[in-house]
Amino acid sequence: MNAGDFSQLFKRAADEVSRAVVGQRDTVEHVLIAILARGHVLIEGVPGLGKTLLVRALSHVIGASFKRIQFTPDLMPSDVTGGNVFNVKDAQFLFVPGPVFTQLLLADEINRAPAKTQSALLEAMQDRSVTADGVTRSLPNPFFVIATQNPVESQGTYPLPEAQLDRFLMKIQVHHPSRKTEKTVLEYYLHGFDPAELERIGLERVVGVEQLLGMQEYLSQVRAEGEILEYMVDIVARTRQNAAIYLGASPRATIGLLIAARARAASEGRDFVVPDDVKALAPAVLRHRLVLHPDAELEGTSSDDVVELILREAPVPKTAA
Amino acid sequence: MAALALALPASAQPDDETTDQTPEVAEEAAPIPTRVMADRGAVDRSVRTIVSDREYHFCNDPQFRVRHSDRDLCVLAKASAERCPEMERACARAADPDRKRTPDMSARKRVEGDRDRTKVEVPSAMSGLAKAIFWVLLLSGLVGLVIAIAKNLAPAERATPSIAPDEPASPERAPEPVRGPVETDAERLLARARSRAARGDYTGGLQDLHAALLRHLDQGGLISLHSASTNGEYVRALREHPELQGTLQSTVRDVERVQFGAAAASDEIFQRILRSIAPIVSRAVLLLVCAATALPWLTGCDFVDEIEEDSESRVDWGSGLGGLSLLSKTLEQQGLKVRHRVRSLEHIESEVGAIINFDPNLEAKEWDSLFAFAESGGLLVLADYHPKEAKRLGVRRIGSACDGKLTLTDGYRTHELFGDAALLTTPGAGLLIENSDNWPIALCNDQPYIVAGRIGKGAFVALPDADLMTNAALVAKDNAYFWTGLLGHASVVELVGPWTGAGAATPFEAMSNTRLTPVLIQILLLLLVAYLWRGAHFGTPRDPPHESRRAFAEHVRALGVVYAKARASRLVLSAYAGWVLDRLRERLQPGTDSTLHALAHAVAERTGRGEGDVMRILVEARTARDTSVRADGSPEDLSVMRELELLLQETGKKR
Repeated sequence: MNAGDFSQLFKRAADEVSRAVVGQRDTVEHVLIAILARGHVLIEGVPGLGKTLLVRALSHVIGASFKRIQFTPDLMPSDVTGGNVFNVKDAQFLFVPGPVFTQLLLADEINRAPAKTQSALLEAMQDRSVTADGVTRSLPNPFFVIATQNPVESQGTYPLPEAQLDRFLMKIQVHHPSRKTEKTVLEYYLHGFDPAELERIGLERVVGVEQLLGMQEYLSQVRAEGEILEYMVDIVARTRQNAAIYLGASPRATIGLLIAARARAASEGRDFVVPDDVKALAPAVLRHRLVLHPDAELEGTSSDDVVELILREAPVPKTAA
Repeated sequence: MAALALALPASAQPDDETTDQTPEVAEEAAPIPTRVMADRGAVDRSVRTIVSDREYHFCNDPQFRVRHSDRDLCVLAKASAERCPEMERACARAADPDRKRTPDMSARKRVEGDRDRTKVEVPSAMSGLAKAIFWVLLLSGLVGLVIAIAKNLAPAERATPSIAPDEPASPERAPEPVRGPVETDAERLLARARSRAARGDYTGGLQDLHAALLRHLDQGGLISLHSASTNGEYVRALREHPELQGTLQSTVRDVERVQFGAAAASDEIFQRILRSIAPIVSRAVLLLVCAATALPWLTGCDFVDEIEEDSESRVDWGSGLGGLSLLSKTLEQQGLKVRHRVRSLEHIESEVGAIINFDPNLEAKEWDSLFAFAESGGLLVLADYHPKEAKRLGVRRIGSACDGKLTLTDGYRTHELFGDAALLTTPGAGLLIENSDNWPIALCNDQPYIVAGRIGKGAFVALPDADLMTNAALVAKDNAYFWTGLLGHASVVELVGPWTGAGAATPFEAMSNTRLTPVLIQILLLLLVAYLWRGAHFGTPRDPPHESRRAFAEHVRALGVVYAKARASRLVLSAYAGWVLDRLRERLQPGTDSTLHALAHAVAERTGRGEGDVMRILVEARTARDTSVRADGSPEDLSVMRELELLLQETGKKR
């Protein structure tokens, strides 16, 4: 595989998913980049914006096994990971795998479950394995978690702890569609589109799991010059010095930025990372890893504002300016 | 009055047939003097002290080189040897054209040869404040220049001031490359790119091509260059110019492949980019050249002519051979006040006793003022010859009449006047007296050289040229003593030259006097064009400073946010419940430590609520106070707080 093949496959996959998820091209590409970078994604948006549809369409297009967990306050960790059940017939405990044993896991409304249950995903997301009763079991390869959360509701929700948030490579925000996009969606429905039956619109599997793994392998060949690494470090370092930020991004964020930038470079048909790749992905990679000072929050500053400011100030390498 | 010094003694006799009428006339016209107001020894010491200063290189510097235009003053060198030892040697070197120039001399040539010419002369009439402003402005400009250069030299350090200070000093980290001054001109970048490519440095050439295109687009207002902007952003900024966008995109693709990828820069890539960029960049340069050429034509056509017209009348006030600074310094050391007259000659102050005019190109009105000054009793010395005014005074210059040796006429050789003082000047012209009322002060080859005459209550002194007042002349013989004696009766001496009348009453007049109007108009037009073109702001736009004062409620809200983020609602409820229970007891059963049941009863009575309901709320409050019971925060905590708040409000109402 070379950068051209990678880019072609990427575009085909993005085009195919965009057939089902109208007007969300950037979101689709970001999710694909995260998957290719072996990262997990947190999608934030109000209900009804097609978050679940996006994940279902994606699983369809890449041919990965897909399971969904609806997070609720009474969800237990074993409901996620699975657990040992006593088999009366055999008179022994039998491990019943939970829904986490899949290639593409949709954790819907992840912030509705308490921290204990959310933490059940920590090991799965970091090590791609599950430990139950002292036995560690590997998860399928590839394994991705795509979680969703509603930013509006706060009653009865449990904000994800920083350690959990840091495990997500990207946090993608989905916004209301434009009028034109919304009209197109209506026209789709007029023509019989049913999100529950994606096969009916002829959605194809354009990338197999094997190809997906091949694409992930290819990313190791994408170059990132020293100046690009300096640029990434500079951006992340600035999050630790900004007056509005209480807790800056971790080194895991820097690593995530590098991997994601490589995936974006390959998706553009390049075998080298350019500053544009870094700058384009920095908001998605950094926004959920920053803890703002209460003062800044009170003034209406968001982490997106801070990241944008940092990107406006961090000097780009080898610029003509 | 200074004119007294010119007077002749009654016994004075004419010693030349060309001035046969002078003694009688002078005797009648001028009052008889008592004595010259100068001490020859004191003047000699003053001159020696002044020229011993290093400023007078022609007297002190063994390597001094005589300017070509000053070589005719070298005839005075021998007579100046005692006071000015190096002058003779300098003149000897100047007179020997075959003398080989040593490497040392060659190195000093540009320093010494024009030292006196390049010296900045500030007219002494300029006030102290003006001088201070002048030097402050000059120093500020220099400091600004140094800062600007320093900033340009270290842009990388400036741009990254906030690199994490907490990161350990990494010895393996490559040092920041020091960037030189940043080239911002697109055409020069293009030329540099070509030259780099010609040397085989295609990587540098590609960078310059890329920079040239971006600079061109920036100057055209199509993009805004910034150190934090990426190439992709520049490309997107050109979405309304598809042709340029395509060019930039392809350029960026090639350049980035070399900068960040594994591709090597090659002549093929360089030529491909050059072909697409050169026509775009050159078009802009052509326009700029046209504008730069057209503007001067539009605004400043006669500027050069005016400068050339006055160029001959410049007076050298330096400390070189032909300079005139020694005259004013010697007079000042002898107690006279010497001023360069900057103000116009329209109103000459009464304190002025003598005026020396070095400017033969005065306007008629100015000449009239000078003559009026003399008529009222002042002494007017005409250091340079002006045919029209000389005719008016009754003298005329005749060429090659003088070998340089001057003899004072008998009337001036008395003990009370100049005695046996000897004068020496350069060979050249002399004067002819055409008005019988005038008389000679000094003769050269029996021809009048220095001529005096009466004007009303005052007098004039005329010279064929100003050589007798030059620095070279004043260190020779008794020339300095002669001038000090001649002018010694005037307490204030003013020097009139091209600068006179240059002072302005209004800023517009000052601008006009300095002939800067065309330049300023050009600058204003350029600013106008730049404004219409770019609408550029001056400086970096900033938001107004944010006021950090907040209402108390906002602080409380901020604290609430912190508690909420920490999910510490139970802690808040505990504190709040305790406070509410205390308030309720204070209101309903003050001074008693009543039971919860009694308190619930009192609250129910006051509010009209059911006692059971009140008891439930109070029990929840007391449970929240119990720190031995650990419980996680829950949304119910907020509702308990609200119920407690309601109880507090209801019990606080008037019954």
